This record gives sequence, C-alpha cells and structure tokens, in this order.
Amino acid sequence: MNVADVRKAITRAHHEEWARVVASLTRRFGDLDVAEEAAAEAFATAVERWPTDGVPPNPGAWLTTTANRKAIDRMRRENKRDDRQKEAQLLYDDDPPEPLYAIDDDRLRLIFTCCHPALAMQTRVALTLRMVAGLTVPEIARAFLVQEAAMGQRITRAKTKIKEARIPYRVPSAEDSRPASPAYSRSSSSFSTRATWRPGPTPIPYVTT
Amino acid sequence: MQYLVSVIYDTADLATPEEMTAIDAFNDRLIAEGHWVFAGGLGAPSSATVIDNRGEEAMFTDGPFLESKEYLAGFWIMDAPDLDAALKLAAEGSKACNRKVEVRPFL
Repeated sequence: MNVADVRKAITRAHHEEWARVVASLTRRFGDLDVAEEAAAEAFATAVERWPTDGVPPNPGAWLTTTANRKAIDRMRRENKRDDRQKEAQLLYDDDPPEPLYAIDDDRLRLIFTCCHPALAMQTRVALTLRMVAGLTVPEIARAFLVQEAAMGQRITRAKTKIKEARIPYRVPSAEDSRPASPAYSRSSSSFSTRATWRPGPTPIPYVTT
Repeated sequence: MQYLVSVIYDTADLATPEEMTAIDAFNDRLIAEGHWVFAGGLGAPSSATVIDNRGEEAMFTDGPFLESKEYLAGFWIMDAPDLDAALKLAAEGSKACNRKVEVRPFL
C-alpha cells in the first residue's frame, strides 16, 4: 500500500469513525473533553503508524482501542494522587453499551448532549460540528466567521458546562420536558454522515448512563 | 448533585398569598420526592450590607454589591441526578413562585 492509499484510508477512517470513537469514549469516561482529546490523539497515532505498520484490518476498532488507552493514560496522569479505585474501575469497566432498542448508537446520544437546550443555539451547532462531525476548531471558526480563539473558547466553555452542570449523556424520552430544539435537525443536516436514523413509532426509552 | 435555583425578580413585592400556597405545595413535593436541601426568601437588596475584610480593617458598605434592575429574591438548593431533572424541577418552581429562576450547579 503506497502513501497515497494510506492517506486515503486515514481520511476515510476519520469520516466514518470519528463520531463513533468520540461517542464511545464519552460513554465510558463521561467527559467530552477527554473523549475529544483521546480521539484526536488516536488519529494522530494512526498518521504516524499506519504508513509503516500498514492499515489495520478494522480501523474503527484500532482507533477506539488506541483512543481508550490514551484516555486511560490521561486519567492516570491526572489521578495520580487520588483514588486508585476509580482508575481500576475505568480499566476494567467494559460493560457493553446500554441497549437503546430502536437506535443502538452512542452517536445519537452524543448529538443530543451537544444540542442540549441549556446551551446557546450557536454553541450547539459548533459543538456538534466538532464532536460529531469531526471538524477542526479553525474550520468551525471560519464557518461562523469568528476568530479561532473565540470559537475555541466557546467550545471549551460548552464542554465545561456539560461537565459541571451535569448535562446527561442520553437520548431524551418522549415524556421528557425538554423544549423542542430545532438545533438537533439544524446541526445534523450541516455535516455529512452515512448513518441514517429512523426513529420508528416506538417511543425512545429513557436511558440513564 | 446539588443545584442552586435562584429566583430572579425586579420589584421588592413579596409573594402573594396564592403564590405562597403554590410555593408551599411545591416545597412539600420537593421534600416528599427527596429533592429538598434548603430554600429561603430574601429581604430586599436595600437591606444588604457588603463586608470586605481582605485588608487591615473590615469595611462595611450599605447596600448590595451590585446595583441591578433584577436581583435575587430567594433561592432553592435542590438535589437532582442531572441537569435535565434539575431543569424540570426549576421550571415547576418558576411556575409556583411566578418568577424567573436561574439554575446553577454546585461544584
């Protein structure tokens, strides 16, 4: 496989796997920032390694495993002094994702978290473009015609609010009292994805993580 | 997880008897469902005193630390599993006291 093919494989993996990697790490670590950084590091590792090691047979699994390791490394660094037990739990907690019945996809939860009505509309769209569509901060800043630093700050603030205010990582249920949010459809139509979600007539269950 | 639900109002008017009844009923529910931590109504901002004891001597200043059109009229501290639950409770609290509220998480 020549360099151009490897580059193509990495680009394809980025299109197809970015949101899945971020979503699965968010479920596991409960922290968007950790998930995003670890996913980015995993792709950077792929750029380094794939040209010499070759493209792995299952790029998605390779990226998820690598990102998980990066996230655990980061948690380990940050938790050095405190609670070993929590770390052990992170290492061995391999529970399968909770079933979502009709829609079994962490990415959908990620979208609902990024588009939570407690966030400003522009922030919802920007955060979704970063976390779900995998656009870079400079790309999003250009789309919004704002400075990169301002966009970076907005996204960081949103991630902090999600963490501090504990915005849940789940798909809202039919009975949920969240106000209808046009941002769900607005941001999902502004990036390309192969996934198609077809919520059937069955109400989406209330899933707590 | 605890949240501060601040009641925001723009006059010094106290709650009407109807509002008090609704607030009491809402508080009873908070207690029954295990969300209650604390709540209270506050005197007007004009009754506030600001104290600054960072220097050599404590400074007492009459009046609120911030002059604003809207101010804190009271608050709840609620226990809720996540922001969605807190927002739902806060929406009911806003209805009960007939005022705007703000939700903020404790760290």
